[in-house]
Amino acid sequence: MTAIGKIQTGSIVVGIAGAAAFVAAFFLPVQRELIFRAYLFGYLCCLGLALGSMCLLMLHALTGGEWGDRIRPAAHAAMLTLPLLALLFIPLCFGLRALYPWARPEELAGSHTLLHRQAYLNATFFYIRAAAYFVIWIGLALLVHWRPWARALCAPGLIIYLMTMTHAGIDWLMSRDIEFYSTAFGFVLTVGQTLSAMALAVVLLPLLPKRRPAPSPPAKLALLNDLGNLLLTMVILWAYVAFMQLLVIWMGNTTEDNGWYLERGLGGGGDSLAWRIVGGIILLFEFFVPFYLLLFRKIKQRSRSLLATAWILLLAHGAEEYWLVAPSGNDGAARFDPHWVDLAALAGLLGIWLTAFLLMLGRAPAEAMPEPQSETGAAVHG
Amino acid sequence: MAKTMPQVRYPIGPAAETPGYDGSRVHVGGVFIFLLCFAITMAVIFLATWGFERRLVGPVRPQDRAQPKEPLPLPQPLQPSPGHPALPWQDLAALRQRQQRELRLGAPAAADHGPHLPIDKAIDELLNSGVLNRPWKNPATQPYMRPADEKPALPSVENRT
Repeated sequence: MTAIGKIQTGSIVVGIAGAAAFVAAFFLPVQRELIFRAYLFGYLCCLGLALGSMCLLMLHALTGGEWGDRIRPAAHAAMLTLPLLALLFIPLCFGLRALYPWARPEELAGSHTLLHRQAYLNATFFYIRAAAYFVIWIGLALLVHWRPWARALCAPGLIIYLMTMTHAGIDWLMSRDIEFYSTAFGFVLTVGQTLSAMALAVVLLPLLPKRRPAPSPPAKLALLNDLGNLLLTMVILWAYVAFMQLLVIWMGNTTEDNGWYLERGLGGGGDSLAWRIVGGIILLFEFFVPFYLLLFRKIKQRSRSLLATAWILLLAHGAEEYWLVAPSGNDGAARFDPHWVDLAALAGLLGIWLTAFLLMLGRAPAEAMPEPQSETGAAVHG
Repeated sequence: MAKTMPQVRYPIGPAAETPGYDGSRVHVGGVFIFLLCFAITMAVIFLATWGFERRLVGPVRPQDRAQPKEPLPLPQPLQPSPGHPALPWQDLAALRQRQQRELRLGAPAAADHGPHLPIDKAIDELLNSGVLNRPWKNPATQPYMRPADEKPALPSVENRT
């Protein structure tokens, strides 16, 4: 059995076990809010990998370069899981009341802000928008799939992805808090998704088919160096936009926006310490450690060390997703209440997604397809 | 959806071997295409926003006029200020309230227990008291009496706005 086959078997087992445990939570005395929150967390982890991969493919179509050719099979397979993710979104539609204050009539009646936003934030329009996001994303994925080198399509595609993800972020995450509003929120999400997709692609490098003929050692070092540099760029960009959002809200110091960070432990009180530790871990392992490591060419040019850095980034990004989802909806109070159902939902969804992803990876081209009009591409295609 | 692409083989560009990074098959033009699309998108968004503003902001809907039933709770500040636990807008509101009270009451006691009037209030008090219109007993302190045909070099206190 190949390495991919072994991982696929493992992911099926983990996925079934996680899904069973998650379904069991509905029959146990577990709050609905915790169950759907866990599902949202696991779902966003998987969705980020798929959408981030699509973003990487569009970026590569625009800029070219060997790096994209090398990670193309992994990114391509991840992107093709979007239809599955559209199906996996359906369970979230049954948890609107548990997840969002605007879907609870008692909260709606007592909040001036929610009443004001009712024309936009209501269940019907939420479903319509979600359907529209998936239609657009799957449409973009099909374009990238069938016309991988269409630069003229990928440029607006990137902008459409940024805009739709901003709106999806507002709908699915930001609206869990009544007052919070940040224009940078969507950008933080998209950059995080692209970063995680890049880290996943680097992690999967040893599993991807080997090149024939094998590249010369200097060319291989150059490729690893490029991948490391791209990871470093994304780490810096993510840290920049995340810090920019915090800085603007910290300076503004307004009732509406403070609550979101107070829920994450910045103001003290409640379970602030626990959330501060989580935030510190994210800051350390999604910025400081990879930033420091990726500064060194030797680390970037060694497969093992680059892979280890990518693993750190992938795990830290998972923690960030939890940090984004879990504390919301507590009216500015820091409440740290991790639950086993969080892990069950993550295992279930990630197992299902990974199975589909590896299935796609098996059907992906054994090696990347170079651009037909390029120098090397012309040589290949004659 | 999972269309299998043809299997192809190709080497990494030779440009990768010299500078330590792969410079082969890199399109700079893609960046300009993106910037062009971005500029067009921004223009469309600005125009659309402007149109919506013109159409929608004018009429105020009933729910926009609705006020919260009870005042919003005071926010917890993000910025640490243990020695001064107040927000900037609270400081400003307190300052404005204090100034209004001082102006209403006249002269609150200052640190040296002397009268402490704002200058505008003092001038008004002086003008209203009629002191300036009374004949002066001491000629040395009597205000300068300007001839009728002489134009004033500086605006007088009476002509201030």
